[in-house]
Amino acid sequence: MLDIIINPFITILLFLYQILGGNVVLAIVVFTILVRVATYPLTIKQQRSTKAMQELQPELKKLQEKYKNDRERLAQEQWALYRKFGVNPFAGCLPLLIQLPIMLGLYRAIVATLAATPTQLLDLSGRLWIPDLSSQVPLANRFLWLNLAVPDPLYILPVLVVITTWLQQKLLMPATPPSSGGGNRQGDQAAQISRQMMLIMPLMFGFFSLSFASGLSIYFIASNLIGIAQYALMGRVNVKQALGMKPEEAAEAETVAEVEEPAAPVAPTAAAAAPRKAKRTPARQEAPKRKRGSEPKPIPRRTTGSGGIYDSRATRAKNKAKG
Amino acid sequence: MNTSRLFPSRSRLLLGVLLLGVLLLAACGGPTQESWVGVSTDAQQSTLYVSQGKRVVAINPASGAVLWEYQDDGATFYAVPTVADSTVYVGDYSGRMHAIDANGQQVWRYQPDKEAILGPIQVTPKDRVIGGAAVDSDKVFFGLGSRNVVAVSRTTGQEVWTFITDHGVWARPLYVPVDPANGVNRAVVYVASLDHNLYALDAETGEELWHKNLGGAAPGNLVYDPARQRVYVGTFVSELLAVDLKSHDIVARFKTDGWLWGSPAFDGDVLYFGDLSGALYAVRVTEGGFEQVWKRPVAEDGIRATPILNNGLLIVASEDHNVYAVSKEDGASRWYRDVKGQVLADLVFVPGEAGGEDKAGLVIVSTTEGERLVVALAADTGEERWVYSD
Repeated sequence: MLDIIINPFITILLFLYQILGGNVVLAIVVFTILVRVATYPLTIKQQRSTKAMQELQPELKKLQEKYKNDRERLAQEQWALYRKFGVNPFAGCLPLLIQLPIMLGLYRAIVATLAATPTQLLDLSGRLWIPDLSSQVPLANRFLWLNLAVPDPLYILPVLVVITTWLQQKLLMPATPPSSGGGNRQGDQAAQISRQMMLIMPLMFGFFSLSFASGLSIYFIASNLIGIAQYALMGRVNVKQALGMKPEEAAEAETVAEVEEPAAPVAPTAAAAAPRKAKRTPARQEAPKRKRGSEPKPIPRRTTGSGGIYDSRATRAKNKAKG
Repeated sequence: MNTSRLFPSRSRLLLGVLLLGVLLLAACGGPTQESWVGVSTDAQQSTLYVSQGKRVVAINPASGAVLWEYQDDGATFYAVPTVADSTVYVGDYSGRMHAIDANGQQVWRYQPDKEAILGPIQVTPKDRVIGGAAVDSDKVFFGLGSRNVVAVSRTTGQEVWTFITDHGVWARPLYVPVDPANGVNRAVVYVASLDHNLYALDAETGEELWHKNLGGAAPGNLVYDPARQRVYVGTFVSELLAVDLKSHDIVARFKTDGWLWGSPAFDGDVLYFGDLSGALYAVRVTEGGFEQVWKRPVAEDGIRATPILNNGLLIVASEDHNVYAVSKEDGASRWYRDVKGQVLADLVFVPGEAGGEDKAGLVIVSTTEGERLVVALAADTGEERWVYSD
């Protein structure tokens, strides 16, 4: 079934290899960039969904506390909240599911064209959509000290794979709100899973790099670096968090914003969380409809600014005020 | 109904998806086996040698009984064993060459020297011996999977010379001894490489005499035509080529439907070969070039194995699990047999005397299935005689 992805990928990779003067690493890098560009809408969708979910967290937490003894009611209320703000909690997974076969196709294309073993080379037969590209098979396997068809004997690439995978995850990982006492078991679990993923995924890819052709490690590294660059361009890279700044620092910044703009009882997540169905409603207009004391309090949250790095709420507030 | 149970935490779902992806990445890595069984026989065709996985096994072709087993810790064998003067030479997937005596005992083992790969840092190169070896009176010649051709001493296993290629050498080198009758005044080793070149090397020194760009990767063995002083080789640009060893020119080309990997069977006048699209060809060699005798779409899948000729039959096997016997005159079908596994390794013929009761001889086929690793078929009927399992 994956052939429908693998075959064009192999053809494109060989075509790039041909037009890039037989430079296999350059071909892999350009190929990775092209795939990233092609899957950009999916990435955006996934990011939006993640952000929307993130911004609903304060509301969800409240519901969890409110209905902590009634799980069924809690689920109903959570669904109601999602419906209200037009958020699909699974929307972030769908693009990932679509991207998985693409990633597998890339992986298979690189392994097949490097043709480290006879069965891999045999598997390449009949896959080319442009028969003339047969003259490019197999790809050159020498790059710097590497034989791209076998694992790196110096273990430099596996180490780089682990580092770049970890770095990408660290830079892109959304802020985990601090646990509100003992009442947010689900949030704690999510944070724990995130931490485990931060450890497991880089090690797993590092293990792959130890076992597979180093050409694949080149792809992993290129993909991670391009991913970081892409997210940076999208303004999603969370440098402050990666540097170890705690959420409290953001909270402090937010407090400053509230002082500067006291009459903005932001409906915390509604506007941002409903990018499609619900039109963005200025917070000031929404405020009078709420009964005093019933509206959610401004909750410290991380927001990504347009500048490409994590932005403080204060800056946003200032911008708003100017607007 | 407790809907919360249907509604897993998003992080868990995401983690599940990622882990699923990683599992798929590991599981969908394409072919699981690295290669296929290597099978060969000695000059007397009285013993079969099978290399697969951790072992090299000698088998009685008449009965399928194992004569001896050779095992070396850490070695993985797929290369075709080469037998000379009762010694078996076989390479492994760590780039080593093993010499094994007639009792299955190791005589020597060659291991590549460490090489400097980054400044003063030296490591033992990770490479594979994929093809078979060629021998002369005192040397063994073999290619490495990623690059280079190596010659080692037949008696000690010490390296004599290494010739550097730009890509792997998966074909068995072709050793052509001095032959004044045919105008060969120097022993030459010919090597087809995945770097698209055919190299002619001085057998004594490894010095390059000349090379010819074939236009595509050439993973299959060369076929030598002493009368015409040519070699025939198939390529991945779907061409069978004839290279004149005196002028170093490509003197004939024949276009095929699919890639060519297996080398042709040659009866001195006509070349018989299959391609990876499943077509079978008979091509006459003429002074003017190649002339198609017939072409048949025989198999539903690729033909990688080199066919064999016996008693007017051309016997060929395919990835589609079948062994086909066709008339060598016109390609008409005679028999076929499902051997229940992909056949990728070259076929081996064992004549009647060594083949026991089968006076017409046996066709030895190896499959990718461990339960039917080697299957012996009667050459005239295709009936199964014995099976060797892993």
